[in-house]
Amino acid sequence: MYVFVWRRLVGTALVLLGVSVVVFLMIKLIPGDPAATLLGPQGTPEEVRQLRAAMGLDRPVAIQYLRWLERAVHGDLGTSTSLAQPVTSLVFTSFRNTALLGAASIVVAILAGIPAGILSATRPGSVFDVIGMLVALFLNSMPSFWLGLLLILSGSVWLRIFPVGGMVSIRGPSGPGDLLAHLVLPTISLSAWSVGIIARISRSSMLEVIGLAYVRTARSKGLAERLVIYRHALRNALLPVVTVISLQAGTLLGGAIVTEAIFAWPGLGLLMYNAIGARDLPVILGGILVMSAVFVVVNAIVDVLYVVIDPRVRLG
Amino acid sequence: MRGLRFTRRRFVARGLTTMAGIWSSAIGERAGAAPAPIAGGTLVIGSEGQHQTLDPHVLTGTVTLHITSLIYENLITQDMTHPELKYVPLAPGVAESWTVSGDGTVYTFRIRSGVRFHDGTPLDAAAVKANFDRALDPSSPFYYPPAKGNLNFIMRWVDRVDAPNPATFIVRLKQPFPSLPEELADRRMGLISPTALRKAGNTDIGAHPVGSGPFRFGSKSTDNTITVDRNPAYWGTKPYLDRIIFRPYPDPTALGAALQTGEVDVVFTLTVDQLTTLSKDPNIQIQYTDLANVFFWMLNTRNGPTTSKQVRQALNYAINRRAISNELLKGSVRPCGGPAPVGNPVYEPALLPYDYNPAKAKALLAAAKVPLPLELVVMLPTSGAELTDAPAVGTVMQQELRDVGVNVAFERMEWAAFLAKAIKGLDDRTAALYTGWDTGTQDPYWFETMFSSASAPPNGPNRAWYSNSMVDQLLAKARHELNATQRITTYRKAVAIIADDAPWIFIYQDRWPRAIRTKVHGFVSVPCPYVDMTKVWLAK
Repeated sequence: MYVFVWRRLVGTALVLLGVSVVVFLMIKLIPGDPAATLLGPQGTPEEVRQLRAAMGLDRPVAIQYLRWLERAVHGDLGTSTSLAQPVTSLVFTSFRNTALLGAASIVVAILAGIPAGILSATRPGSVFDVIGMLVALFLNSMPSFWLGLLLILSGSVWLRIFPVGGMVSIRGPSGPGDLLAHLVLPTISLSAWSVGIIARISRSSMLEVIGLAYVRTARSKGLAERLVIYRHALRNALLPVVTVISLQAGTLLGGAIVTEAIFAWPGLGLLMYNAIGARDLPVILGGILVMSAVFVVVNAIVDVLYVVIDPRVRLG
Repeated sequence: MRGLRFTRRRFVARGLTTMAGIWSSAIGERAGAAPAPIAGGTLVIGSEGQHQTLDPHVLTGTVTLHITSLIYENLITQDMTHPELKYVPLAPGVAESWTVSGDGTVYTFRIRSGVRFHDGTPLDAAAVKANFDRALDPSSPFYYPPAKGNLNFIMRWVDRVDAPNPATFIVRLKQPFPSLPEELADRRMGLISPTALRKAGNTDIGAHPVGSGPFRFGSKSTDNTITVDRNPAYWGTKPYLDRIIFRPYPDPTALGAALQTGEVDVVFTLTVDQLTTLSKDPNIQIQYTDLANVFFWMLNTRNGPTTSKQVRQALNYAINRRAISNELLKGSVRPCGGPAPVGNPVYEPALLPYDYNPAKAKALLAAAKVPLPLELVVMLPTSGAELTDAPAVGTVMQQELRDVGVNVAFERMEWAAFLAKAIKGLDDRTAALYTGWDTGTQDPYWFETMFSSASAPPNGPNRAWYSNSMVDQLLAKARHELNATQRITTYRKAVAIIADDAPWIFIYQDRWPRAIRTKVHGFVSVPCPYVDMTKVWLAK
């Protein structure tokens, strides 16, 4: 286990270093200049030149990167060029909000997706199976921006139940109930795709396991169907589902960019959305590093979960 | 010292006869006696996009300047209570009066006594100097290079500033610049408490803003919502509202929905789709600000077929501005067939000579003896504040130009990439770029920025290399001219030549519609993106 953790830590550091180099170079290669963007269309080249010098953008790219890296290893991710605020606090505050939305979404996806998949698999060809899989396909096919706007239209404008957007603090005057109300629509929007994919994978995985010899044996021993499904089949069927869920964690972070922009949810996605438009390199770098780190950590956790679910798997 | 003197009395007298009309023009009021204002309440404003730092000296764009303009004050401000005027007159701000030397190079401001920042620091001449030093004096502890870059539009003319006593602040210019008072009213010139600057530092002052305005910073919440509270110690007219909340919505559809549900009371900028939807809602009124601005295609005057004046004029006659304004953009813009829009002091109808005349366009192209069809490459932004309609307008113009024998190929670019390329000026293969311009103030000095040959890249935003020596001379003469009437006359001569030269395809003026719930009173429609929030109140 220690070897596994050590390897993962070294791997994570290397991945983050590689990601930072690639992102830094990519941002420098694509057209766009933070100083020109800040000054707008009426900024003169001379004003842009002065602002670039003030922001340290006139130095060689390698020097810029090394200066950033030196500060980053000390926990200072620099200052946002568009917001004039420390990136470290911006990124971590935003990440906390995204984590809340992401966690809510993954919980909804698991609670809705796995039962729907299992019920469909145990009743193949039934009305429930057909409708359930059609809904899953529909959720997979819908663009999140369209679903988001549809939710605003129905839940906020027509029904007037949920707020259009924004987020309130759990310690704010309106309390946790208001936070929950703000969380509902973006959670539905963000989790929709995951619900669909988890339901479909759960169904196919379960169907495969149900057809295996050991399940037939269990049934032939006279075990109740409930025990066969939930005690014997489900555990093995869950392995690919867990893999998909772990991948969803990364997908949710990426998908959160659109959802957070529509619902004005102040998370990492919205921060990145604005930062990319403003060519705010420190924020883009900080945001992507955090996203990468989360992805790597989540995958490490999933590797451990494999062992818990299937004792035949060994960490190495 | 011989000088021109501007006092509060002079400015107020100009508008006294029209004061009665102000309230009746404010929205939300029906026929009959205007309702009496009610004190108290919280106004919620929906901001388009993200709030930036609350440091006015490094801000651009109006979204966050709407907030800082309530927290900070300028030496000179704008009197936004005159909807009957086609421009926004200046008014004394922190400076209660000012004089100009005979040669136009020394401005002496008398600082209003008793004004304090929200943290109790006296707002005296030394405090004003500290703010100027931030962009002017590298040896000052307040010096901040990004502020220098952002405020260069004014600081480039300033030689030095002095504060000989608490009530006197002196600006010494490198050369006469009669536009200085107008530029000092730009919202980026808000005055920050030097005590707060010392305490927070240049980078963090935006998170802890301290000004002297009618509202003071309250809080910034998790979702970047910013609250400002009434300043009970304000020296001027105290606001009716207790509090104003600015809530950001990155998505324009969500912003419109928030207004419909009453989650917000005001939206300052509307897309065409929003305008169509919201104008049908009986609880919402649409108000047009008619800010002086122009949207246009800047034509390459250095290379290619657009070097021909006849071709450029032909392109201008080929565009059906009324159809674009009324049909495509649903009246949210007005046709603008010339360089000087309504609201600019130079404006007069004769300076907007171009209307839809495809026959004349074809005749001009034939006279220019250019091979048809003309092939033009045009840079088109696909994003960017106030340019969301550019792709749709571009497509319509592409069809209209094809009808007269001009084929347009668009080079579509995301906003940041567009700006990075545009700033270098049009290259030889590009015939035009699509953009727009408006200014925080309406001084005609900006014509020189856009049209003088000295303002071509790398020195300025004349990105299509327009050059006319007569225009250069007139614009330089107008910049130095101290007589206001003569100055406008000189600018008009220059603008008439520019209109005839047609260095741009002049398209439309954005009317800047804003949507306000009917319970909100006191919004006055003047050609300015900002609002005098001390006059705004909420019906019960």
